Order: sequence, then C-alpha cells, then structure tokens
Amino acid sequence: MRITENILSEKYLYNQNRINEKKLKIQTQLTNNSKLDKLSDNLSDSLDAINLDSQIRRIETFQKNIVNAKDYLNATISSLENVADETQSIINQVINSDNPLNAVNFDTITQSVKGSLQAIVQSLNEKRNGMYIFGGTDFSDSPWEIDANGRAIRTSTTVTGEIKVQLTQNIKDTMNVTGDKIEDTDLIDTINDILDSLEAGTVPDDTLKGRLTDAYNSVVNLQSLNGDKYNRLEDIDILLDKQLTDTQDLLSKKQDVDQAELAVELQYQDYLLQLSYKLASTILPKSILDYL
Amino acid sequence: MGIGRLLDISVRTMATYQRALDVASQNISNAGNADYTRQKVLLSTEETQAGIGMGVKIQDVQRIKNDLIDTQIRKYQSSISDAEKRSTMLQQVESVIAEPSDSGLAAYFNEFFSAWDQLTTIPNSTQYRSTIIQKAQRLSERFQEVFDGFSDVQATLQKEASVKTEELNNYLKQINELNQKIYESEARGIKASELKDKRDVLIDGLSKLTNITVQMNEYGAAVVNVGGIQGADQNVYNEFEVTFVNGKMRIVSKNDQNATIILNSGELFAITDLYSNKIPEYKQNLENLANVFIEKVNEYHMQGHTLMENGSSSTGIPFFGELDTNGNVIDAFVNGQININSDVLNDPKNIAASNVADNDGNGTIANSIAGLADAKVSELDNLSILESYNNILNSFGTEKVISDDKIESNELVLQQLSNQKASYSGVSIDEEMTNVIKYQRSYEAAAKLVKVVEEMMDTILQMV
Repeated sequence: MRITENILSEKYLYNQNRINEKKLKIQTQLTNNSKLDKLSDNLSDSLDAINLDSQIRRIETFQKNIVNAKDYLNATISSLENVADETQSIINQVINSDNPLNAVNFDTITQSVKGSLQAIVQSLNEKRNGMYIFGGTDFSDSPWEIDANGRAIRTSTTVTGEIKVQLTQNIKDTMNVTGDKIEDTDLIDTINDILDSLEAGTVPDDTLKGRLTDAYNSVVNLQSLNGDKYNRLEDIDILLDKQLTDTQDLLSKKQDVDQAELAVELQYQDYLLQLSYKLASTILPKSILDYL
Repeated sequence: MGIGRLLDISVRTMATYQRALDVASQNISNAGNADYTRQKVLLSTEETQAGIGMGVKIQDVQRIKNDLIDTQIRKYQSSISDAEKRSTMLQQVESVIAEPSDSGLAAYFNEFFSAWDQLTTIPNSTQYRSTIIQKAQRLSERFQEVFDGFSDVQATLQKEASVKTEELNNYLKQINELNQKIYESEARGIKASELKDKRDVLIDGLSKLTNITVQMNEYGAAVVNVGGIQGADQNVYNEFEVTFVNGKMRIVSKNDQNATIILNSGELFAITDLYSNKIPEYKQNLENLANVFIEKVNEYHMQGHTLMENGSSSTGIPFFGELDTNGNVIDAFVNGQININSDVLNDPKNIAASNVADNDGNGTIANSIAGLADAKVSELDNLSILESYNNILNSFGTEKVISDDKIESNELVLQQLSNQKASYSGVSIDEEMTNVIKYQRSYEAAAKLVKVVEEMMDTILQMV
C-alpha cells in the first residue's frame, strides 16, 4: 500500500478527533456528575433511570400519605382517649350514685354525667383538617349532638364512609374510625339510658353498669386497634424507607459517575493525545526532502 | 546513422523529461490537495526507424483513479450524511424531551398522579386541589413545549430541505457545465484532469445530499442519476424543488411534478424521512398518549362529585376540556396543549374526588385517578401511561442510537476507503521527488549527449 502524506495527516487528525470526543464526553459527565445527560447516552440505562425515578417519587408520595394518615390516627387516638377518660368518669359517677350517702347528690351526679356526655360528644365531633374524625366521609354536619334533654343523638349525617389511603403500591387502608364503629360500642345509648335512670331518681342497675363497662372496654379496644394501626403505619414507613434507599441506590448506580474512574480515564485520554502530538511532530514533517 | 539523429534523440529526450518534470511538479504542488488525483507519466520507446532506436516519448499522462473505490466512498458518504443529519436533528428533539431529568414529562406525570394521591388523605382539602391544578398546568405546559419542540424541528427541516434542494440544483448545474468543458477540452486533445477532479468534488458533494448513480458515457460526461431521475449529463441538467403531498415532503423535478426522487440515503433522505414520517410518528404517539390520559382522567372525574357548594356537590364535570351542548368533552387537547376545564381552573372545589354525592371526605375518585399511574390501559396495549411514555422514548431513542452507531461504524469504513483512495490516487512526495531526481538525471544525460554531439561536430569540422 502506498502511504501518502495525506493518509498520514488524515489518520492523525481522525485519531486525535476521536480522543478529543472521548475527553469531551468524560468532561461533560464529570461536570454533570451523571452518565445520563440525554437518552442516547445509554438508552437502556436512561429508561431504567426514568422508571426508578418514578418509583422513588411514588414511594415519596406513599410516605407523605403515611404522614397524613398517622396525623389523622393520632387525632383519632387522642379523641378516643378523651372519650375513654370521660367514660371512666361516668363509671365513677355511677358507682358514686350507688352509694346511699350520695342520694342527696343525685342531681349533681346527673349533671356531671351530662357534662361528661357533652365532652364525649365534643370529642366525637372533633375535626382534623376540616374533617369530622368519626364522621365518615360526609362532613355536611357534625355526627352527634346534644338534644334539649341533654341526651346525645345522631344527626341525619351518614357516618359510615371510609377514608382510604394508598400506603404502598398494593396496600390501601382505611385511616378513619367510622361513626358506626362508635355506635357499635353502645356507649352513647348506654350513657343516655344511665341519664334516663338517674333523672328518674333510680340508681343504674347492674345491666346498665355492665353495658357501660362493656362500652368502655370497646372504646379502649378501638383505641388499641388504632394504636396497632399506627404502629403498622410506622412499620410500612420503615419498609418504604428501605425501598427508597434501595431504589435511590439503584438509580445512583445507573446515572452517577465514578469520579475517580473518570478522572483516571481523562488522564489516560490526555496521555494518548500527547502521545499522538509527539508522534505527529516526529513523523509528519519527514520526507525525502530532509535528506536531499 | 547521422550525427543529426543523435541530436534529434537528445532534444526529444530532454523535451520528454521536461514534460515529465512538469507532471511531477504539478503532483508535488497538489500534494496537500486532498481532492487532487495524481497524474502519472507513461514513457515509451519512440518507434524505431530502420531498426535504429529513436529515443523516448511520453505515451500518455494518466489520471490514477479507481472508480470502484469512488463509488464505494460515495455510497458510504451518503449513508453517513443521512445518519449525521438524522442524529443532529434528533439531538434537537432529545434536548426538547429532556429525559432523564426532573423536567421530563415522566416527572410531570408522576407529580400529577402524586398530587391526586395526596388528596386521598385529606379529600376535602382545597389546598391539595390547588396543587393538582398546578401540577396539571405544569404537565400541560411541558406537553406543549415538547410538541412545539417537534414542530420547531419540522420547521427547521422544511427550511433545510429548500436549502439542500437548492444546493442539489447547483451541483447538477455545475456538473453539467463541467461535462461540457471536459468534452470540449478532450475533443481538442487536451487532457482535462483538473476539470475532472473538480467534477469529482461536485459528485462527492452531491452524494452527501442524496443517493446517486454515476456513469461515464462515450463523451466522457458523467451521467448523474438522482434517486431514479436523470440529474445531469453533458447536454442537460434537471432542477428540483420541495413539494408537499398530504403533509409528506417530496423532492420533485421542476419540469415534472410527478417525477419524485426516490430517496434512500443522504441528507435529503434524512430530512424528508424525519419531516414526513418520524417526527409525525413521535407527535402522533404523544398525542395518542395525551388523549388516552385525558380520557381516563375524565372518565373517573366525570363520575366524581365536587366539594359541596351551597349545600350540595356537583358531578359530570370533566377535568380536561369543556362540555359541548350534547355533553361531549371537546377541546381537551388542541395543538399539543392539554386544556384544563375552565370550571376546575376557576374554582379548585370543582375537582371531583368523591364517588358519592355530598361526601367531601370521600376520596375514591382521587384514589382511582392516582391509580392511573400504574393501571394497565387497554387503549395503550395494556401498558400503563408511564410505560407507554417509556415506549415512545424507547422508539425515539433507538432511532437516535442507530443513527449514532451508523455514523461510528460507517466512519471506520469510510476512513479505510479514503485511505485506499489516497493510497491509489494521492500524491506521495517521496515518490514524486524520486521521479524528479530520475527525470532530472535523464534530462542531464540527454544534455550531456548534446555536448558529446557538439564535440563530435567540432572534430568533423576540424577535419574539413
């Protein structure tokens, strides 16, 4: 093969251009700290990175949902605690009413039970973020009210609606205690019946006392169930945290650069470039003319 | 043999080597000219007279050229030009798409669905509703930007098509003129090597624009065929222009609009293919995705109930687009713009999150819309919206990667072919200088012979 001066110079320029292209790519990657500046840098890794980024955003959304759900559950547990406290107070008043020495204080006991009932209704009508905690999903009116006789009654509002929240891609859970769950405890009816009994001047009988204790236990049980649910949310949150870390790690592996490796590669390319200059300066100017 | 014949031989020899030196000097002076084709002096013996040699003569000055390599180079050059143009234009689209990044559509889709997810935790929240509108607006703006980006690239392609077609016409005109000059020159017995080099440069340039075939006819003219249509010979040249048929770009002859260039390589192929097929395909895919997205969100949203206003909630409101008098959703997606319903835009309370009337705490619809992020949609070949978007990116990205790979692989082949061409047709200074020394020596020897003849003549004269 005849080797002409043009072949030598073209080859030299071609090789030098390729080295410079590589250097430019490394410099861009180092500056952006990302291997994936655009889709075509590595199509498969870019698409993976988009998917991983979507997963990260989804996990972060679920974590925000959990924060809101936990806040709501906290408010629920706190309200139930108030209800349980007031119920305990009513239990004490009922026990007091059974004491013959307190026969003269019957009216005071009745008023105290009425006060506790009002406090219970107030707790059951608690709002969080403008939502009645035990009001289901219908917030047009408060779920309970105290009538003219001092009895707690349900308003016409439906209280069975569940507020469901997506906690993970596959787990959707109810974050509210619906009003019917409160009704299932028989607490309100029992207190109303106790008030009827007290106002009639009768000491609540054992059946009523038993109903009140059962209702108290049910409220405590509800509180405990919600505590469990709160703990479960924390567990899910921890799980999501781990998922988030793993996914971020995967994304980092896909797109982040190994700066040390790139710096070495850049140095190597620079070395090749200098070698190319040196070779070119030695070979290109030589011809028979130098020896004539 | 007379002494005069010795002089004849010497003079002829000196003239021959002087001409040979002319050729060598022409080669040397063009050593740095990559477009130059080296010339070679073919020496032969002058015919003998009565069995006595008559010296040397130049039989021919050849232009050292390999047509096969030239054809191969043009083929690969055409292919690379196609890939380079494709890659450059797709790079513009790539920067508009801006993936993978926080400003890509995927991120905006995620933020939109995430906002709906958040609403499920506080379904009566107007603040979260405002966030949904904000995210929908950003998604809409991004869609518009991507669409406008595609349209801008198409507009650029349209301008480029006109410029490149004009370039094509100029090349053909110049080739026609050079064909005539070469024919006239060679008809007078004058070698037209330099004109042929000029013509080769034009043909090489032409091959970057489009697929061509070149044949030499009996008049030494290059008959250029451009994608099945005659481009130029020594008599005529064709002029082309850009036309549009059903939105598709065509390069047709100005004389006959039905004569369309069948393009399969070169910059014009990349331009017309991107303009007529690829970009519309990407736009269509994005439009389909937008329409399915709008349809699915609206499907749920219209079933949903808004926050209560004056004691009751409303239903049947689309999230995107407006309702016409027949209750159909219109203007949801116009020219790349996703339009949010005006009632929703004006009052976030009109975002329907509940599947039960007058139930502000119900977030079932919000949950369903948020679930669209992962839901498989039959209209998208059972892919989710984000998966379908990734598929669009994949098909676009593949085209770009193929173009880039094609440039790289063809560049290597072209480099090899160019080296072969340079090896065959290029000037080697070493070789030319060796020839110069050889010719110079021969010239000097011939001159010496004249001197000897002169001495012989002197000797004869002294004898008289």
